[in-house]
Amino acid sequence: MSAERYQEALTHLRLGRKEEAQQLLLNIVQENELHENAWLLLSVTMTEPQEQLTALRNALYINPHNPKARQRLVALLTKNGTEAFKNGRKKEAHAFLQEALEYEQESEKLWLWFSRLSATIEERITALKNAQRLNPDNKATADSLARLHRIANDQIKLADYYTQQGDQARAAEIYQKIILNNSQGQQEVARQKLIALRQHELITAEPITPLAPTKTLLRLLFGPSLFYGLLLFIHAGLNPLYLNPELVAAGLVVVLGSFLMVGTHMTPEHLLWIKVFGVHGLQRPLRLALWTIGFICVALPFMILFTAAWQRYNATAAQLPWH
Amino acid sequence: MLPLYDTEPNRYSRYSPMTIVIILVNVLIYVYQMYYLIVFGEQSYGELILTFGITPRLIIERQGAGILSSFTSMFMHSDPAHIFFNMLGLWVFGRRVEDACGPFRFLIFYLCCGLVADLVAVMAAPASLTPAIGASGAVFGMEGAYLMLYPSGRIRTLIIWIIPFWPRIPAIWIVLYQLPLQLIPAYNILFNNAASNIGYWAHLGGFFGSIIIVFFLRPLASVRFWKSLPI
Repeated sequence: MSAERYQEALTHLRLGRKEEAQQLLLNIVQENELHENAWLLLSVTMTEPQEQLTALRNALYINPHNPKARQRLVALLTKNGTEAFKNGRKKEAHAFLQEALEYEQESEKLWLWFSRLSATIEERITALKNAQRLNPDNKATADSLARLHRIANDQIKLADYYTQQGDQARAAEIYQKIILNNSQGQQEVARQKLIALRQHELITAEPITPLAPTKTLLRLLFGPSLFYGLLLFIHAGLNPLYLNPELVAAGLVVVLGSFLMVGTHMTPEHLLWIKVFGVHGLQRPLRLALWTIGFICVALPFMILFTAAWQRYNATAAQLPWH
Repeated sequence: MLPLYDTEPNRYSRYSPMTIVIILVNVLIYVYQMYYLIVFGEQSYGELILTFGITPRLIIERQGAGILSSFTSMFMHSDPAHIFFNMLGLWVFGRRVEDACGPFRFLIFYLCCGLVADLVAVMAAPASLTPAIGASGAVFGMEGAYLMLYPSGRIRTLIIWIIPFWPRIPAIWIVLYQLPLQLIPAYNILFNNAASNIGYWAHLGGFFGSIIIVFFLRPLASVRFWKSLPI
């Protein structure tokens, strides 16, 4: 009986009638909650990610070796993890990826993602070691691993690392340990850093809405672009009608140059950024090359603008009132 | 009321190199100006000021040195008192602003404040043929930024009230004292065509321009300001 209903649900699904299929499958699992394939198929008919996850988890509970269920669950968990990360819910994203890794331990990409979301340095190192095991030729992974080992072996650096990660409590704990156990020089450094940390905590304890990464990037591009914009506006005699289109276009080059200069010195947790430059950000030679291009892009328009101003001065000098 | 120095030390860097460099450049340029005056005479010196100072009407008519003059005018001064008070102001307020943002960002910020000050001054008196020189617009910008970044900051200030005394007073008091001194003459320049040798509009432009820039760049600062959190 349930086999017939299962076939009927399958037919509904093939014809695109998801709701009918879902109703039949729900009936099946209500009668026989150990129907593995019904749970699997039910996950396809569900629209809510949480319901899909429950259906797939149930299918895997019944048969932990079901390859289709494993594959779908990993894909779904990765997708949910990415979504959560995109919306700034790092802890949730971490939990999703951790579960995905329970079912799929042979994906380098998953381990790299997980390393990025790891709360502790030990977890991050383990994740990168796994990624390296799967792809020993990945130089970026090796570099990151070496860097993390260096940090883990130096208490001050380790505390700084946690501060940067936003885990002030753990950083403060390490600084306090240094103050109690280490040499005089390190004690002083740790004391200073602990004071700065406490002050920072006091400030960030305020209900401040964090800025979106895009907005942060805009702020970082702001300086040279504003400077150029002001110069351009003054050059046009404060009249937008006299703005030279070529110089305006050069302004866009300043923005691009600033973007490159800023981008090569940071690894923002922005999905687009990670997609373009990878989980580890840019490698040193490429970083230097892009920074140089960025610098030229910023400097060149300023030179063009100043040259235009100088040419105008030479052309109009004789007509100035004091001549 | 003369601000003397900020009593708080730097937090992130030991020195504020860019502030010192800007002060040195201003002093060197002033020394050169004096040399030029002695060697080439008053008429040539006047032409130098007219060329490299910012003249609103020439800016509007797109004549003369244009942006070059808006750049150079920031580093030129008219007399020893002018440069002394401007550089003192830069040292008092600029040192810790640089500490907060780093030397190169500080340089761009300083120049932007100067340009905003020029822009406002030109808009306030577009027909004026009087050249303006001095770093005061940018220095007022530093004052605005200081106020936003260090709202509880205290400045050792010389006050001469029958007898001189030098208490540590909150920076906001200095601003509350200085702002009306700029606002009233600025109003007269704009609405009563009053003549003045002081760029009041440039001061106001630099001050409010810097507040807007800092507000955009460091939204945290405004929260700190209103909540009076310790610095």
